[in-house]
Order: sequence, then structure tokens, then C-alpha cells
Amino acid sequence: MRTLASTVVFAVLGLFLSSCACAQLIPTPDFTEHLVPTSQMPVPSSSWWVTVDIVALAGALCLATYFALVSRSRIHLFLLTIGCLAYFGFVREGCVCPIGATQNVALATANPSYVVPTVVVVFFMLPLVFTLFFGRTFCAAVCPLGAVQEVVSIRKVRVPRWLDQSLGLLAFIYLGAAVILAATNTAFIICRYDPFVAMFRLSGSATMLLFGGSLLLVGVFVGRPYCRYLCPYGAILRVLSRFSKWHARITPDECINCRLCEDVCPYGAIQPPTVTLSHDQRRREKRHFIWALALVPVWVAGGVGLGSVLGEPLARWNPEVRLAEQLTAEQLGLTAETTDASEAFRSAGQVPRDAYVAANIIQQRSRTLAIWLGAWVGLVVAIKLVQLSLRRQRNDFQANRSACVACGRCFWYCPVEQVRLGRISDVSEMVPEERS
Amino acid sequence: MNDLLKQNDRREFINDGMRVAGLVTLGAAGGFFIGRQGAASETLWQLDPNKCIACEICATECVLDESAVKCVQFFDMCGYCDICTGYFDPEYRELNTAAENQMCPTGAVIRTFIEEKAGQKFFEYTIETKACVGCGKCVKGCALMNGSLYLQVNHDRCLNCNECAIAVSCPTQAFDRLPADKPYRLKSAALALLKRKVKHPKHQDARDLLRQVYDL
Amino acid sequence: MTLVPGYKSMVWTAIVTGIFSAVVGAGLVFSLATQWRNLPLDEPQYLALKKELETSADNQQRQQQLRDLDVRLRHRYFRQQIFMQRGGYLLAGGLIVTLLLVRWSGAVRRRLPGPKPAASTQDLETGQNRIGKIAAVGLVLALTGLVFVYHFSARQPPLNSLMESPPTGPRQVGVDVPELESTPAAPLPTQSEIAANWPRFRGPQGRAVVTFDDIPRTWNFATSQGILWKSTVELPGVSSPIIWGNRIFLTGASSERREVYCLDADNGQLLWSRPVADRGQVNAELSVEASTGFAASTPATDGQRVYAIFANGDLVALDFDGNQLWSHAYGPLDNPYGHASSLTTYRDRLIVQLDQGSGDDQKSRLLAIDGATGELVWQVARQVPASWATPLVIEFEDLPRIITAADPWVIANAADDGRELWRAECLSGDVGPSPVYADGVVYVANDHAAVAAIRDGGQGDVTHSHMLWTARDGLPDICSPLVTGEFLLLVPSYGGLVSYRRAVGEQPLWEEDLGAMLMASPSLVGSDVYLISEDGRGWVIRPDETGFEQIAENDIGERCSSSPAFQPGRIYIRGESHLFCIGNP
Repeated sequence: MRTLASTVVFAVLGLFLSSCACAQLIPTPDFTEHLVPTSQMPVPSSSWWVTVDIVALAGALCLATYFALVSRSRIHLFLLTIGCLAYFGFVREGCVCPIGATQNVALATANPSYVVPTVVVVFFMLPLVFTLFFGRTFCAAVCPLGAVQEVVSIRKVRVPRWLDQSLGLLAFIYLGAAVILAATNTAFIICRYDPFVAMFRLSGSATMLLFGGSLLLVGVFVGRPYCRYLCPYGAILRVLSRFSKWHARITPDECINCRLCEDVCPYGAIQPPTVTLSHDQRRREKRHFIWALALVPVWVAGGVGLGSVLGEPLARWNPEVRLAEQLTAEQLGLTAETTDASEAFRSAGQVPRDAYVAANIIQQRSRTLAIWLGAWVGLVVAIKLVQLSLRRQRNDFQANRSACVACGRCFWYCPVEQVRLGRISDVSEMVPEERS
Repeated sequence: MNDLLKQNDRREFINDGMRVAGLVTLGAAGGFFIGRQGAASETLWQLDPNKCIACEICATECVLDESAVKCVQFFDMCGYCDICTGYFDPEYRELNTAAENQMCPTGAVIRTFIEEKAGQKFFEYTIETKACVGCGKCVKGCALMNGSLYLQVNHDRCLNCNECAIAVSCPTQAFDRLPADKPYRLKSAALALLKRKVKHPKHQDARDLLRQVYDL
Repeated sequence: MTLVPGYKSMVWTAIVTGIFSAVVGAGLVFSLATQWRNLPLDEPQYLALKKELETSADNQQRQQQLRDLDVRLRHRYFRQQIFMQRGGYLLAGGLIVTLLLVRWSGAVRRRLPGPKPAASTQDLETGQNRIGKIAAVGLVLALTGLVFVYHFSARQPPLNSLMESPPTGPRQVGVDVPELESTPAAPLPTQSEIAANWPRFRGPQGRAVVTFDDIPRTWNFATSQGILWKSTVELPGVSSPIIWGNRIFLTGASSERREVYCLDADNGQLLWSRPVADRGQVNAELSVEASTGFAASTPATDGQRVYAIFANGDLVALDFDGNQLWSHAYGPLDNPYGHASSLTTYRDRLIVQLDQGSGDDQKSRLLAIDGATGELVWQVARQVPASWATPLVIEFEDLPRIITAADPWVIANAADDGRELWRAECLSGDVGPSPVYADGVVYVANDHAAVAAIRDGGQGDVTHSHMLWTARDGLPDICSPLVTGEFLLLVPSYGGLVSYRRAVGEQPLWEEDLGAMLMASPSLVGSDVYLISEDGRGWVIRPDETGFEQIAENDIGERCSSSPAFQPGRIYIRGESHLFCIGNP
């Protein structure tokens, strides 16, 4: 009975308050002694972290480059990896990172009113510049996402070249989607689906922890699965690394083609020397190459076609579009359930028409962008096909400049390197008799 | 051999060209982005209590197990009511602090007797931030009355993710980024009250708060 | 191969830390799977106990049990939070140590590979590349396929097409007039047709001003003088009759049944009666106030269809032959007395004021429904509690609008898209009397609140800018106001009649007692006011500056709560169980 009474009291209170309109508050009493306090809000962590971050990034990049290209020290690289994992990963909890910064830059490019902080610009640019000159030394030891995978990469399983090459496309497609979703201020999918950030924070949604965990489990056998097949920033670095001035090399001097390093790269970046093809074979290869080149516009056109139907699903990422859809569904009685969003919308006294108009604008924009995304996917596929038809002559064992992350694992296996370090006096000490 | 050398030369030339082009592009873009920003570009996530409907997702969607969003009391808007709709479960049995009467799932709202005036008892309701999980049950309750309780992202906890996970799911899109030197918000009514309060020399705490509050 | 010193201990340490990490990980997963993030007071055990305590009054033992459990749960919650946090650190630490040891032990035992001799003469690359090309294409196609499967399974496609032309339409007011007139198969009735009929509560413009000639002034129940016919209405209802052509539409309902009746206006014969199903299935728990009943809302017609709504929230559209076109179930309506707001039409749309609940619960709405299809054209949320007034459509101005009265707001919405034009705060309590409009001024009144004259127009809250006058004497609780030339007549809740000067207001001109209670709203015929009391008596009076002159006193012989409907030479009055047609023979 008392419960009932109290409910009534609450209901009456509610009624009373609603009747005396929103502006009417119950006045704060005038106390005889008590001083009415004001809640204090905690101060945000200070911004000098930003400077530390930039210095740490630049320093780590220089060190990584030095270890990979000059001193050629795997152990130092590995220690740097651990250090960067600790700092950029666990201390700074994965933010800021150049991978995510891609989106901020994309958004800033598309939307002049969005101001991207200096630290984010620096984080995005610095590794790119380093890569242009020295290859992917950022991936080698600085990136915390790469580091965590580097650490778990224990047993190598060779991924066949065809699979490796085709899966590598995913990263480019992911990059395209991320840039477009970010540019429209729809979503930052790179951050949303960052597999390891939840681990760095030691908390996060169970799904993401599980996703990250399984990636690491795969990573024990297949080296750096995220870097190779998903990382959108890695996709940019791959391209830039191709044109790098200096690049980590397997051997410090002339390759003696001893084949000791042939299978040691867990990332499949070591390419053997090419064999000389017969005249017929060469001609066939050339024909394939020309065909692939000629098909580029076809692929792009196909991509545009695909993109033209992708506009709607792309727009649905946007919460405003989802709200408008929900309102439509409610209006037409297609759904009996309202969402928090639609209820809040109605209770704010807004007219559904505004939501439709806004949603229509976003849909319109998404349509254009989806076409761009489609064209991008088409272009990426076409270039991959061209690339796979292009044969380059190699006389010795070389690191594939796009795939090599300069981790330095192969150094130890090179007899020339061992001679350089003075561990052995002659390469023949390492190379079995029958093959020297 | 000669062929290979020629090929290498050509490749080297292309690489150099691409590198220079890349550098120029990067330099231009970097200069453009850094040049465009004004003095303070650092921003932090915050929610707008005017838009907030206290739907409880702040408690569950934050990437932190213990959400960075927590309840705040704006005392000058509080009626110090005996029957506090933010404190008591709608089906409360008695007006006391017994477990079955409280609404807060973690007991983070503290009820303190202040004084009795003209037969009316006044209580102060304080949020124990450490225990608060940001579910907003009390905020929803308080909204029936004065609405002095509201939710805010606490910046000692917030990681300032690039994409705030709560913002993604917020039904009213109440989250946005505020300049880092003024990373808090107040309800518009509260802001007016605070502005009046700071004029009084006694209230240093009010001035401290106002300094942190973003005012459009 | 000689073992490197320390290798064994490294391996063992790695195994130990590995097992440790696995145990910690399992613990975390277990904790995660069982109770993580369940707020302490959401535990089913707690909720069950609380429910029990609610039903059993003052059970000390249960109460203590609940408190103990509460403390236990809260403790557990915080313990668990700390456990998760520390567990996370331990797991991360353990894993890092394990990994480092594994790597290190691997490194010290590193051996040179022994590649098989001379595989290099074969060209593997070309073949691999070829498969790679196929795989790349396959991958992209698979991705495309996935996107399509997701796309077409995610949502109903019709939504998307609607999104392109939203149901409310981004149409500009005024622009859609020719569009509307060009589409319908049967043309909408013209204003003069509407004026010749009685299509809604209180007639064509909802203000009970009768423009027909030869309206009888006297009749007598006892002698049947002036009563052309009377017809029994099966189910009760306080809703009023409406008329289109020679058809009279009525609604009646009991707690079990709801019916719409169509009678021949010439002889009172029942042409058809149409039972309305309880679509909302809410009748079982429906309770209404006896004087309101289950059929309090007057139906409305747009000349092609007739619409009716009942206390259970069922809205139905029938054609003139009684065939059901569509229906909606809005019930159960949260209304303490029973839904009574009558229906109105605007062009081909039906306007429904669906105020209910307490105002905070966001239940109240104003709907515009396509009369032909039953589809919602627009709706606006209203932060007002339940009300019983009828919306008023002002159609003859350049911007058609709908005026609604509720507690505390009188709101004007654009009739075309529902957007709010203005609102004024002047009413409170259970708002029953409907707004009326004359010469650019909206008049509203309610008991315990005020009578107010609001100049139509403005934007946003016009309480302070457009309120011409308010007064507090002789306030009605049910009967709507009547505008007569320069006066505004109110029927106060305690009976009688009060007159205000429309232009000035503030103080009533006069107050007269009729010695009767009225439920039916007054009507104006020429300069005469027709009043019908709850006990069935009727008066024809002529008001002036100082009071009124009684022209006639009549009687229908049974109780009456409905407002009369008029046609040339005829008055139709619905009594408790009959419909009377009064006219000159």
C-alpha cells in the first residue's frame, strides 16, 4: 500500500512539475549556514604529452632507421620494438597513431572546418617521409600494432605467393573505405576496428578483444597478418617504400646467392633471383602485361558500376540516415518499436521532414563517394593485375621493397654479414661445401 | 648485364622522380594542414547535457570498463528535496538511505541532511565519482524535477579516442569535441545560475568551474 | 649441438609463465562471460527479491535479506572491477614475459637453415602470379558478393525508395495544392459543399454557427409537436451526430462493442450499422468515466468517407456504404476519463488529436492521416498530458493550420506538414472545451484556468505577444465557447451562461443562471443561441449587452450530452437513447 502511495506521490510530483512548465524549478533553499557547493571537474591530462609523443616518434624513427640500415642490428631493433610497444602501446594506449591519423587527414582535406591537430599531422607525415627515404622502418620497430605482432611471430608458416598477393588487396580496399567514411565524417572505421588498441588499454569490448586475440594467434604462425593484409597505413607505406632511396638490405655487400636467407622471412618479403625465361615465355608474359594494362579502364569502369549501387549501404553508416529510416518505418507502421534515437527526436519536438531532408543530402553525397570508392577498388585490382604480370629481372636475393618491414631477421643468416661482423673470417665457413 | 644496368638506371631515375614528387606533395599537405589551424586545435570529447536523454549507454559503450562518463551534481539547481526523484527508486518504501529505496546501482549518490526549515527537511545529494558508473539512472530521475544532475565526460579518465565509442552509439548525437582548455558543459539553465554565482566573492569554486566550462 | 647455458631454465620459466598467463586468461574470460558489466542492481536475484518485497507489505525479514544482498552485490561488483583490472595487468605481463622468453630461447638456439639444393632453375613465380591474379579477382568478387548479401538482407528495400520522397514530403506549403487537386479520383468537396453539410463536431468550421434557414425554435416532446421523427440508437454514446447529404452518421459503444450507424436524414431509418473490431485488444482493461463512455468522440467525414474513433483507441475509416477502408489501433490510450477528442478533416486528411498520459511520457501526438489509404502523412509529438478538446482546422486563410488546446499549451500547427507555427501558454487541468476561431482570434477556455483570446499568428511562444485578454470568471469544463457577433458565451461548469465582450474581455458582461447543467455545446442560429441541458431541456435565447431574452423553452424528454447538428429547417439532437429530428412539418 505504501508503495502505491509513494508511486502516487511521484506521479503527482511529475504532474505538478509538468503543469508548472519547464522553467519553474524548485528553488534551492536559503540555508542559514550551509554554503551551496559547486562541483569541480577533473582537469584533463596536460598537453605536454603531445610534445613527448612527437619527440618519441621522431627519435624512434631515427633509431629504427639507424639500426636497420646502418648498424644492422636485429637485437637493437627488437629492443626498440619492445620500447615502442611499451610507450606507444601501453603507456599512450595506442593513441595517437599514424594509422588512425589517416582518417583525420582525410576528414580535414574534405572538410575545411575540421582542424586537425599538429600532433596528428606530424604523426601522419613523419613515417611517410622516412619511408620515402629509408623504407618501412616505421613498421620495423616504431608502430605499436606492428610491434605486438612482431613479438608474437614465432613459428613461420609460408603463405603461398598467390594468396599473399591477393590478400594484400584488402588493405588497399580498407584504405579506400576508411578515407571515404572519414571524409564524410561518417565513421572512423580504422579506430573502431583497431584490433590491438583494446589490449593496450587492457579493456574494451569483448568482440574487439577476441578479434585482436585471434589475430595474434594467427600471427604466431603467419607473420604480421594485420600489417600485411589489413593495415591501411601500411598500404600507403608499401607504395612509398617502393621508391625509397635507401632500403634495408639482406646482405651488407654483394649477394653470394647462398640461399641461406631464402626461407627465413616470416613476412614473405625475400625474393629469389629470377630465372631466365625462354623467348616464347617472355613473349607470352609481355602479352599478358599488355592485356592487363589495357584492362585497367575496364576494371575502373566496373568499379564505378559497383560503386553506383553501393551508395545506399554506405549512407546507412550515418546515424542521421539510420534515424530517418527509423522514423519512416515508424510512420508507415513497418515497425512497432521505437528506438532511443527516434523517441529523443520526437520528444525534442522536431519534425521528421527535417530528418528526411538531412538524410537525403547525406545519401546524395554518399552516392558520389561510393562511386569514387568503387573506382578506387577497380583501380587497385587493375594495378595488382598489372603488377602480377610485370616481371623484373633479379640476379640475387632481394627484399621486396614494398613487403619488407626492415625487421632485420634475415641479417643473421647472411654469411657476408657474419664476415662483416667478424664472427667468421670467410663466407665458406657458413655455406655448406656442396653449394659454394 | 648491360641490359640490367640500363634497367637499373631507368628504375633509379623513376624512383628519384617519384620520391621528389612524393616529398613535394607531403610537404605541401603538411604545411597546409599545420598552417590552417589556429592557436588551440587540441580538442576533447564532451556530451551536451541539454541533448542527453540519460539512456544508459554511456555506462556500457565506453572503451573503458569503468566509463569515463560520470554523473555531476550542479548544486545551485538542486532543490535539496526530501523526496529526491534522482535518489529514490520510484517504488521506494521509506524516505531513508536503506538499500531497497535507492535507485543508484552502485550507491554513488550520497544523501546528507543539511537542515530543517519550516517543517521541511533539506538534503544535499553528492555524487561519489569513484563509485559512479555513468548509467544516468539518477539523471533520468532528477529530470522529473529540477534536473540538477547531469552526465559529463570526466577528462581524468577519458582516453580521448579518435572516435569516441559512446558518441558512435549516442541516440541523440549529444557528443562532440570541445577545445581542450574548456572541455566541460553545463545545462543552459545551470550556466546562467553559475554566471550569477561567480559574481559573489565567496565562491572561488564557482569561478574555477566556469573557467572550464565551454560557453558557446 | 651444445646447449647454451641457461637455455633450459629459460624454457621452464617460459612454460611456467605461459601456464600462469593461461590461468589468468581463463579466469578473466570466465569472469567476463559470467557477470561482467552487469550492474549490481540488475541481478535477477535482486530484482526478484525486490518485487517480492513490494507485494508483501512490511516484511522485516525480507527487507533485511534484500539489504544484505544489496551490500553483497555491490561489493561483488567493485571486487570484480578490481579483479578485471588487475587480471588485465597480470595477463599482459605474463604474456610479455612468456613471449620474450620463447623468443630469446629460440634465438640462442637459432640454427642455419639447410635449403634443399637447386630449386632455383625452375620458374615458380610465373605460375604463382597467375594464380595470384585469379585469387585477386576472386577476392574482390567475393567481397562484392558479401556487400550485396548484407545490403539486401539488412532492410526492407521499400524504405529506401520512400527515403527519396519522404512521406511528409519536402513540399512547400501552397505548392502541393494543385498536386492534391489533380490526383484524387473522386474530387474533394468544395468549401460550399462542406458549408452545406455538418461534417464534424459543431459543424463546418467547428464553431457551431448555423447558416441554414428555417431552423425551428420550438418543439414539444409531450405533444410530439415539431418532432419529425425519432429513431432508437442501439449503443450509447455522447458523441454528436454528423451529416453529409441525406446521411446521418453516429457512433455508439459499450464496454464490449463499438458501432458506427448511418441513418437516413429524411426518415430516421437505419441504413446500415457497422461493428468495429477491437483491433488493439485493449477493451478488457479499458475503464472510462461513466459520463464519458466508450464513444465520446464525434466522427468526421470528408464527403467521401466517414471516420470514427473510440475510447479503446481504434480508429476506423468507412465508405458511405459502411465498408471498412482501413483501421488503426492506437490503444490502449492512457486517458483517465476516456478518449473524447473528436475527429476533424483537412482536405483529404484526417486530423487526430491523440493527447494522453502525463505529458512527460511523450505519449501525446497530433496526427494527419491520408483519408484514402490510412497512411500517416505527418505526426508531431506534443509535450502535453491527456486532453479532451477537438482540434480546429482553420482552412480559409492563406496558411491552413490546426489549433489544438491542451494543458498548458494552445498550439497552432501547419496543416500541410505539421510544423509548429505558434504556441501560447494559458490553460491547465483537464482541458475539455475546444478552441473556436473568429476574425483572426482564437478563443480557448477551461475550468480552473482561464478564458483567453489569442491573436492568431506569430512564431514560437506567443504567450506574451499575442494574448489579447484573459479572464477567470465563468469557466467551462466541458462545453466549448460560442462566438456570437460581438460576444463570447461560455457555459460554466456549474451551469448557466456567461458573456464576455469579445474585443475587451477581462470582465464578464453578465452571468445568468439557467438552473440546469449543460454538456452540449451551445449553437448560434442567426442571433439566437440554442442551448440543450443535460436533463433534456432546451432554450432558445437572444443575448445582448446586459443579459438575454428567452425566445423559447423546449424539451426532448430524455437526457442529452451531445451537441446538436443542423440542416436547413432541421435540428438533429441525440438523446440518451434516441436521435431526434426536429423540424417544421
